Amino acid sequence: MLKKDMKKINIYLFYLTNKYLIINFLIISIFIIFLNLLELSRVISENDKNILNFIYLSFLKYPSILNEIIPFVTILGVAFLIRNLISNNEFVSMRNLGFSILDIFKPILIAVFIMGLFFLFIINPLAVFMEAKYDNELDNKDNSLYSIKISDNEMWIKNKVDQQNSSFINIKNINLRNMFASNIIILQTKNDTNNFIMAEKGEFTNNIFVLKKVKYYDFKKEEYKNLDKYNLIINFNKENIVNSISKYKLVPYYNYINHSKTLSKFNLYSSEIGLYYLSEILKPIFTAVLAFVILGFSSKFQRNENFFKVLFISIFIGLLIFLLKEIITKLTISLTLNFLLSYFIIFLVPLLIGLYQIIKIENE
Amino acid sequence: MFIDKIQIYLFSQISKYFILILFIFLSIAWLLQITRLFTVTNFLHIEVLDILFLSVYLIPNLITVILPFILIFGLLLCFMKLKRDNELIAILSLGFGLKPFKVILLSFCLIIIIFFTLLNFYIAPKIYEIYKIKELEMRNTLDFDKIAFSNFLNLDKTTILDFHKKDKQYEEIFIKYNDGNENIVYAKKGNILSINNQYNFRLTDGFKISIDENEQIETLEFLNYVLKIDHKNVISDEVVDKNTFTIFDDFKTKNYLNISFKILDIILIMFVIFFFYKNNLKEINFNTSNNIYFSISCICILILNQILKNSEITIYSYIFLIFTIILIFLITSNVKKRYEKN
Repeated sequence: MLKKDMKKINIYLFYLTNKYLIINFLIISIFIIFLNLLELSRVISENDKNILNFIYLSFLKYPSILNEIIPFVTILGVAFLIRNLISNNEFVSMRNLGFSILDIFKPILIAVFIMGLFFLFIINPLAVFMEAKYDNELDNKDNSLYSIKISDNEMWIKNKVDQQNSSFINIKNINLRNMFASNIIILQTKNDTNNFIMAEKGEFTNNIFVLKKVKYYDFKKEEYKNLDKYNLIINFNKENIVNSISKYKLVPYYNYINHSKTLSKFNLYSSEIGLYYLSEILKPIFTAVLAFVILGFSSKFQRNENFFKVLFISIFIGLLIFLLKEIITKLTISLTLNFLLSYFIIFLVPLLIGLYQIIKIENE
Repeated sequence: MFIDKIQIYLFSQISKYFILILFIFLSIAWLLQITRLFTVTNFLHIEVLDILFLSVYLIPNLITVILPFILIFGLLLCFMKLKRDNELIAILSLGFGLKPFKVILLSFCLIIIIFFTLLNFYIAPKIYEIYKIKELEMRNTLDFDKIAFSNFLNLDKTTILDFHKKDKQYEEIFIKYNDGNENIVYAKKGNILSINNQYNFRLTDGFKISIDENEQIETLEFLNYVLKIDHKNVISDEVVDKNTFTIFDDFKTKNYLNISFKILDIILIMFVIFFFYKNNLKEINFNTSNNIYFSISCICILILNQILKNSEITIYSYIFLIFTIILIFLITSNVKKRYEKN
């Protein structure tokens, strides 16, 4: 076969994949917006329940929804694409021209991968920005487990200086703009002694928490001191606090490493965060693997075979893989598994299933 | 006899597509809900299977919400396939006209309405209530053995707990609670149990600090210390949600607005089927632009209905607005048809 013809078919497949992906994105995102309206109606305050506000909040949520539905869109888009190619006898024609399943997969893979990259580089930061605004509009103060705890205007920080030394800091009032704190309680636990500090006011400057009007108690010496000023050395700064207040999911991809490092200072880093960040970065590859599995399952059917069997089985397998990913994420938290191992499993299982299916079809 | 076979075939085709789209949309909605439940219950470390079982209770409620959507895309996909395979033309050329289609759409509409009414008026609210109760129970049951990570957990309004867990051993236990005085307890090691609505802390090697109203500080160092704090359950009233009201509850409480919302949901299902018949099937027009027009019109009405239902609106304004919009789309459809004929 001429190289020129191959190129034409590849371009056609690439174009068709994009078309199916876009159609599915539109349909599923509208569907999720519709479902999100129910969620909105529960969280929105009575005074803000008007049509314009619902539309505005849905608009703010849209990039996050798009980012969330990539796996579903890939599963459905590729399943319907292959089914369409089979129905129109295009699939069998390509096979007769000498295309292997992998040859057919190449342009589909490129389209899915490019979509994944577009979502990582463009939609991910946009979704983070708009979701933060969405939370702000809804006055959503739900704390993430992995951010600095703020409850009833009280801030709770656990500063892990090293394995032996840590501080529990409770600030009853804090102005996050200028980082002025008041009514502060600090418990310092060290290897050889413990200290308890109460201060009326405090200010974060670089890596020092400057405390004023201080009551200081040394457990080892069993003595109280009233001090005008006390400099508490900490291993974080104002910026670290502000960053760690935000939810770990509301961080753009280019800040993942910095954010992880900052969370470690507050003893807030867990393998769940590592797994989430790794999943986001490798999403283009994961969606390509999903497409590979769907292709493996849907391309084995003939034109005269049951249409529903094709779609049901391939979509069902795709959704099972999504569920598997969620379950492994959950198990990573429960069993404190290494996130690299978890991601390896998430990645390897569908890849092996897809590969097995394709080898089976080629052999048949 | 012959027309019966055609009708059975049409009915099976519509049902198949309806089930396919139901499966796709329900799976997506359910999986997204599971993801949300996993995230919400992360720190409680509830078993995966428990969450999966809990999420099953969401399914009837999800079906009532997504059913009109399923109808739109199910009908469209089914008739597009019939047209593409020339089956539509074949059935029409038999001379029965649109009669078999009308009969099947009507019977399908009837079955869906009976199913939807049962679900929307009684079954879904009942099952959703069970879901809410189970969810609340789960949220209230803190199994410390399963918690691997803590970040100043709120045990109740005044009690905060933090610890580090290493090889199932609790270390660096920090507790702050209020009993008139503000108390802070720290222990290097310890054990935490939840027995009979009471948190039982068995602490080793630590100290307790009490601060009274005048900011006078008292300290106590200990080698072993047992601290018991009552566990206050969240009141079950929190379970009450308008989605948990059955039709009987609505009548009892004279919540006519909720009843009218549910009745209008049924009317909207009828509208989707009627509009499909009028806009697409009657004209045998399944080209892309007409299909887009049909789906966008229906989705607009459904989204608007959802927004209005959740807005602070009176029953009359709500009904007036919905019927006006339906009327506008029907008129537009007629104008569009005339324009296309010319």
